[in-house]
Amino acid sequence: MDGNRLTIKGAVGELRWGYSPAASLSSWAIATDSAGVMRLTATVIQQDAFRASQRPLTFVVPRPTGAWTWTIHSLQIAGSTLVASINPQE
Amino acid sequence: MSRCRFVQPESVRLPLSDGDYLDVKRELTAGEQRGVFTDLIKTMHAGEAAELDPKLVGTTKIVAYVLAWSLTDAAGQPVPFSEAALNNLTPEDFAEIAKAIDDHEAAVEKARAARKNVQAGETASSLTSPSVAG
Repeated sequence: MDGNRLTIKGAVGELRWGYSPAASLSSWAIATDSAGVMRLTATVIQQDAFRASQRPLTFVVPRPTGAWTWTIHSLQIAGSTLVASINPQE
Repeated sequence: MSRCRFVQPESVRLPLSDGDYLDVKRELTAGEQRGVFTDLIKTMHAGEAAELDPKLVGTTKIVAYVLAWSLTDAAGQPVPFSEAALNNLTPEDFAEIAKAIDDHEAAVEKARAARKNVQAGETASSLTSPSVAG
């Protein structure tokens, strides 16, 4: 927590294009910035460059009874660092 | 505008008996298609026929296609799709799933062939010069 800002962190996540895995992610964190935008940061373990260049993409965190899913709005991958703005999937 | 040659990751729901269903990929990518065959190969030497693993015949295609299913265990709990779960089905239920996938693949292939015929017809007609009345 940073003031009133909530940060969610996790060890394992995935970037997906439809059902197709576009990147395996680790050490991810989601935080809301001062403008209310949810930002995802993560380490890229492995990626399929073609799929990662397609849209729409989602960020998926596997859970014991399903998954948490966010829609990716903008995405930057530089080396092994991923930064994205996201929204909860409706 | 040229056509998109890349497989779009779309899924299709295939009904099974007793209200169950499979969620499957509409079509496989070239890489996935190759994987269906190469995952079957036990040994392969240059100039010789590949030796296939009979245990995997029928399984690799299902694993390539299926994204999820509605199957539950004896306690009514959902069982996530996996190769291990597939191998624990009754032979009849495995056969039902294999047939559903084969039928789906055949239907997609038929639709693709029909689309190709239409495109080929369009190309042929666009290459034909209009006749000039003399």
